[in-house]
Amino acid sequence: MLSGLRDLLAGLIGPFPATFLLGATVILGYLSLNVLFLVWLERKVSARIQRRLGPMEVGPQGLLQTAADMVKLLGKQLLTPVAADRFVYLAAPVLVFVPTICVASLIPLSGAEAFADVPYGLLVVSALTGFTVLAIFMAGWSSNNKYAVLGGMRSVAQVVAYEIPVLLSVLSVVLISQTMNLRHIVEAQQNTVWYVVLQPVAAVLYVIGITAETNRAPFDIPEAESELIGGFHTEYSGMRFAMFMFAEYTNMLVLGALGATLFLGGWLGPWLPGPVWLLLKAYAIVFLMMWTRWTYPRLRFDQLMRLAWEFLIPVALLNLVVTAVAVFVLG
Amino acid sequence: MTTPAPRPSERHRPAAAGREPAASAAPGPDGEPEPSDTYTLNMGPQHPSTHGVLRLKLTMRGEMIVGVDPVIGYGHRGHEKMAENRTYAQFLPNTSRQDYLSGMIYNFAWVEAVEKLAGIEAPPRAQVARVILSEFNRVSSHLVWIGAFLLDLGAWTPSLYTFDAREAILFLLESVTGSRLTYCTGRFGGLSRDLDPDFPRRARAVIAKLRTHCPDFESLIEENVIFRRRCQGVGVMSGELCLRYGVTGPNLRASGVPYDVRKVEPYGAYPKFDFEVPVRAEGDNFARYWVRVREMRQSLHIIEQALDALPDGPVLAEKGLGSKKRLRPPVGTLYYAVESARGAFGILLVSEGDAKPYRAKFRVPSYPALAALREVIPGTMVSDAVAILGSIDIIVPEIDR
Amino acid sequence: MRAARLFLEGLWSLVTGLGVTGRHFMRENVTLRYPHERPDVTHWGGPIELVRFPETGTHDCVACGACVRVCPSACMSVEGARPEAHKRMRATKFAIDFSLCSLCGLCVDVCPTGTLRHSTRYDEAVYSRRETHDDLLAPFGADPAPPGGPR
Repeated sequence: MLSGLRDLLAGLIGPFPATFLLGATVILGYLSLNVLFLVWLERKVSARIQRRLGPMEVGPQGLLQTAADMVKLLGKQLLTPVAADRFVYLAAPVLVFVPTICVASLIPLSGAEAFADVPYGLLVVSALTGFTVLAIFMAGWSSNNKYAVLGGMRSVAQVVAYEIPVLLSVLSVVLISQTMNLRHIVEAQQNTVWYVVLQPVAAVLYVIGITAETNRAPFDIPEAESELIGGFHTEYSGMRFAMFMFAEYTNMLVLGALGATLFLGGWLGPWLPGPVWLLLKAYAIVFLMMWTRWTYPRLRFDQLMRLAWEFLIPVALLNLVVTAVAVFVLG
Repeated sequence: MTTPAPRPSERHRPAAAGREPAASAAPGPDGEPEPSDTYTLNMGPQHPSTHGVLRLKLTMRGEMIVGVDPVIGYGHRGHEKMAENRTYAQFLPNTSRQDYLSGMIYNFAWVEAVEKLAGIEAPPRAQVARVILSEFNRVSSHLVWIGAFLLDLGAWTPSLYTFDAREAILFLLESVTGSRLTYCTGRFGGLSRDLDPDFPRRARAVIAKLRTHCPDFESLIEENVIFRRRCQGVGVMSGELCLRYGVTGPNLRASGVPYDVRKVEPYGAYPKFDFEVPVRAEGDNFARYWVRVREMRQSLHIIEQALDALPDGPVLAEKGLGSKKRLRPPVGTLYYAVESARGAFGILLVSEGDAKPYRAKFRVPSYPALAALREVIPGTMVSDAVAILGSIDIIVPEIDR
Repeated sequence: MRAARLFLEGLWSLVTGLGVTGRHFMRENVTLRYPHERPDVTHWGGPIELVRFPETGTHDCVACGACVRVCPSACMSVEGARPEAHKRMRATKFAIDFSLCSLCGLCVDVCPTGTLRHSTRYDEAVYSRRETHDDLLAPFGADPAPPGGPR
C-alpha cells in the first residue's frame, strides 16, 4: 500500500522527494503517536504490576491521559538559566531525537517496503546510536549547573560502557548471518531460525545493553530522582523536558525494533502483515524493559560500571569468540 | 576538586532545594577564600526521600561524603510544652502524633505510664487487647518502612505491595478504634472501646492475608541480587557504636545486641507470650532489613497467642477516669519505656500532684539513630547515604516533637 | 566454584523477582475507584454529631459543658438555656470547629447523657476558614424538648 502511494507521489514530484516525504511523514508521525501510546502503556503496565488501575478517567481506559499531560506541559513556562550556553541549551532537546529517527528510518518494516535498503545498514545504525549521548551531554553541560554536568557525565559514561556489549552481541549476529544489511539478516532468519535461539546470550546482553542506553531502571541513576542530582535534564522545564522523555521512549521503541529485527525475525510471521509483526515484537521487547523497570531496585553507579566492564563485556567477547569458532567449524 | 568562586549568574539563581552549591572555603587570614577540596552539599529540608523534614549538611569531596551534620527542629511543635499545659487525658491525642506510624504504641505508652504513676490497674482483657493492637501497629509500621526503604533504593513496586498488605491492618484497626493512623483509643484503666466479638476471626483473617505476602517479599526483595549488593556491607553500625549513641530497636538488634524492651523490662501482658527477638551481627542495611522482616513475623506470632489468650471481662476499669474526673497522680517521677517499632520509647513523667503533669519528657528512638549517622555516613557515596538514612527508620517529627 | 554458585543464585533471583511482579500483573487490582465507589466507613470515627434518640426523636444535650472543658483543642462551644417547666437545661447553640478537632473522642467519653458520638462523614472539605464551624443543632431544626424532663 505504501509503495503504491509512493509511486503516485513519485509521479508528481519525483521518486527521491516522494520517498523522502513519505518516509519522513510516516516515521515522524508514527513515532509521535508511539510516544503517546508508550507513556500510556508504561503507566498501565506499572499500574497492573502494582495491583492498581493507572489512568482511567481521561478517555476510555485513560488513553487520552498522555494527550492531556502534553497540553499541560505546553502551557508551562519555559525557564532558561541566565548563564546557560544558549544555543547548545536550546539545541540539545531537539538533537537528542535526530539519531533515533535516523535509526528508525533504517529498520526494514517488511520485505517489500523498507524506505532505505542500505548494504551496511547495521554499521550505520551502530554509528548513529552513539550520537544520542552527545545531545544528553550537551544538555548537561549547557545548563550551567554543577549537578546537571555530573548527571550528564554519568550518562555518557554509562552509555559508552553499555554500547560495547550491544555492539559485540550485534556482531555475533552478523557472524552468523554473514551480512550487515538488515533486510538480509531478517531474510536469513526466515531460512534458518530466529537468532534468539542461536544466540541467546547475545540476545540477553542486547536487552540489558539497551536498557542501560535508554537510562531505564535498574540503570537509571542519570535520570531518576537521583537522590539529589536531577540529572542532565535538571534545568529543563515544560515542553523541553518533555522532549527528553519523548526521546527516551522513542529510543526504547527504535532499539526494541532493532532487537526484533536482529533476534526475533523482524517482519516474519504468519497471517498478519509484516510491519504489524515487527511492531508487535518491538513492543514485546519494550514491555520486557518496562517489566524489569518496575521489578528491580536501582544499581549504584559504580556497581553499574563494574557490571558493564567486568562482566558484560567479557561475556560478550566470549560469546563472540564462541560464535566465530562455531561458524568456522560448522560452516 | 577545587570549587571556583561563584559567578555573578550563580548568585541570582534561586536556591533550589538540595542543589545549592556553596562557596566552600572559609576566608583565610587575608580575607581571600582559600581553595579547599571539599564543598558543602545541602540535602535540604525538602527531600526526594522524605523521612520527615530533615536537613543534612553534607561535606563532600568529589563524590565521597567526608562529613555530615544533621540539622533538626524544622518540625518542632512543642509537645513537651503542651504536656505541661494539658491534663493527662487531654494529652492523649498528642501521643499518636509524635510517631504517627507507631501511634498505638505511643498512645498506650502514655496511658500505661500515667496508670503506673497513679496506681491504676487496667483489667486483663484490656492489657491483652493492648498487646494485640500494638503488635498490629508494629507490623504496619515495618510495612511502611519496607516500602520507603525500597523507594530510596529505586524500586517502586514493593512500596505498593506493602501498602496493600497494610490496608488490611488499617481496616481492622479502624473497626476497633475508629482511626486508621493516629489512634486515641487508650484510656486510663483500659481502652475506650471494647473489641467486638467478631474481632478474633477478623484478626486471624488479616494475619493469614499478611502471611500470604511474605513469600513475595522474599523473592522480590530479600533474595534479589541487586538489593543485596546495595545493602550488604553498606552502612555498618557496630554494636559498640550503637550503645555509645543509645541506639535501640531493630537498629541495635541488627548490630548484634539482643536488647528488646519487651524482654528486658517487660510491661503489660508481654510476659505471658512467647516470642523470639531476631538478632543479626553484621549491622549493615541488609541486617536491619532482615531483623525487621523477622520481627514482623514474631509480631504475628504474638498476636495469635494473644487472640487465643484473650480473657473475657471489662475492658475499662472505670469509665471516664481522667476525663470525667480529672486524674491527680501522687507526687513522683516515673520513667516508663516501651518497645516501639523504632526502638525504646521512654516517657519521663514528673507529677506534682496536679491535674497537669509538671514535666513530660519523651525519649524517642529516632534521635540517637540519626545522631549515630554522623559516624556512619562519612566515607560513603551519596547514593549509599540515602540508603543508610532510609534503613535506620527514623521519623523526624518524633525527633523534633 | 562458590563464585559460580553465587552468580547463578543472583541470576535466578532476578528471574524469580520478575516472576513475582509478573504474577501480580495477572491478578486483579485492589483499587477502590473513588468517587465512583465509596469506602466502607461503618466504623470510622468521624466528626462529632449529636445522637437522635429513637424514644424522644431528638438529642439530649443538657449544655453541661463537660465536653467543652475536656476538649484538648478547645474546639467546642455550647450554650444552653432551661426551657419552661423542664428540670434540665437544653443546648441552644452547639458548634464545633472541625479544623481543630483531632477526633480523640474524649468528649464522647465524658458526655453524661451519651448524646455525642462520632459520625461517619469523611469528605468535609470547605473552601474557607469561616466554614469550618459545624453547627451540630442544625439537623434538629426547631428543637422540641424531650417531653416531661429527664429521660
